[in-house]
Amino acid sequence: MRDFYDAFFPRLEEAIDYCDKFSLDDVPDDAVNLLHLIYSLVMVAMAVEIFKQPKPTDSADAVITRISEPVP
Amino acid sequence: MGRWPKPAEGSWTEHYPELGTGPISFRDSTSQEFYELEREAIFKRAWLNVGRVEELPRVGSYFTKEIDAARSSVIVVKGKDQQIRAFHNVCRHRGNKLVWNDFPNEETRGACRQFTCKYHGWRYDLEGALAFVQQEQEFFDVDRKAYGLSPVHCDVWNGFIFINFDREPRQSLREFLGPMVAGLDDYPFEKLTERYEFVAHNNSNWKIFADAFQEYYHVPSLHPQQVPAEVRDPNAGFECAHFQIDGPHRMVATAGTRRWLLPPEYMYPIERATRSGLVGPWRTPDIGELPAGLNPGGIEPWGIGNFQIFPNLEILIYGGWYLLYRYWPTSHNTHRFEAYTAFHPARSVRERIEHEVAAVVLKEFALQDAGMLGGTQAALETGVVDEFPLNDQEILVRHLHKVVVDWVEAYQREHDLVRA
Repeated sequence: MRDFYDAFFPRLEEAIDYCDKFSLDDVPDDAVNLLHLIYSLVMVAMAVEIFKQPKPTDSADAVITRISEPVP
Repeated sequence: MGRWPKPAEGSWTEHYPELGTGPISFRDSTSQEFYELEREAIFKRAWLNVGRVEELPRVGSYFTKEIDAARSSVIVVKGKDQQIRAFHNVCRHRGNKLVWNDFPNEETRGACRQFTCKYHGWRYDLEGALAFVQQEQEFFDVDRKAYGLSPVHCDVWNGFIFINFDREPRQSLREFLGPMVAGLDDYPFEKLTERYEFVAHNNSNWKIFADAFQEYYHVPSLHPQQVPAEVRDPNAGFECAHFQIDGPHRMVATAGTRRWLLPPEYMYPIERATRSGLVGPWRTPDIGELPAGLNPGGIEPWGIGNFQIFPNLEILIYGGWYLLYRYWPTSHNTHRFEAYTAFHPARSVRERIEHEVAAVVLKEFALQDAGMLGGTQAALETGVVDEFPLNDQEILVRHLHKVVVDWVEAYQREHDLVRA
């Protein structure tokens, strides 16, 4: 996760700017892929920046499942 | 000496003298007998939120809801007259579960012109009337009008759909909600339709989890990471600006400088890069003037308004977006947790990213509350102590447990009267 974060974070704003050029209902496939990578980085940033470990501190065996979200 | 003035009585708790200030019991959250009473006294009498009108966009839209606490499955459907109705999910022929998809015990949603029972093909229209019986002539004196779906009381407040299992609800929905919640009448929930939805199956009594979201006293201890380590104050406390109680419902307002107006080192790099984070997007689209009832304490600068609607609904409003939590008991020491964050539909990819960040951060921190629960419940169930002191910042915890016990005791008194 740290390798991914270190490689991507310096270019995150550039990636956001690139994807933001497109209208939400007309994002080309490669930009959708990049957007998904941005979402992955958001997830990874929780571990790398905030909790300094893969799962939130004191989260034990708790599971909260995201069952829906907007697309893309 | 706190930052925020307390009422004349000296504390929020003493401002409501019926609450008392002594230690409380949590037997209501560990006893199986109590849970059985709670099911009858509360979940089969109070108005329960099951969804919002946007989930039923057209005539024939429906969803089912499994409410373990009432041992019921409910169909909620929009009829041809645009009315939303609720029915017990039971066919009037031989009691089969009427609406389900792949697995009968799972909730489902969709749209249809009528409901058809998978077993013998009986059909009901969207208003619950029995429309078709296969080989009707084989029956003895069956008047279709007498075999419509069993209705469940259903009403809508500001787009939120509520049901009530009581034969005749003791209060209308509006009476039940009361003036404090009615202060949110003009909050434009209907504009915030972009949702991220979550479900969890938690190992605690439903109230024990609800407690974690109705006090912020725990924030510096359980969620220290909400402040970056470099600027974290190890002796930090948390003080809420305003507490208010109205009947069985309660709210808390926090205040303070907006997170994104703090010096940059008070936020994480991901927050600065995406302009979103722990308290949501830094900027949200203008949704119009917000009602004064959102901030009944008139707090400046206002942070959030966290409304707890009895029994099991929390609506926490950040201004231009909100989150909603529901806690559905499945036993005396387990519950199903439903949550969603609701935003104005993203108008750009950047806004969509802001929403994603807010939804992810919220869930990660909520896992800290959830992670503790199994331990909290187990420790409570040892029963070695049953006297727990609550401080003034924990007034809403005190109030929830008191109202629950009050409703159960009132039910028991009625029940005893009936038996005598």
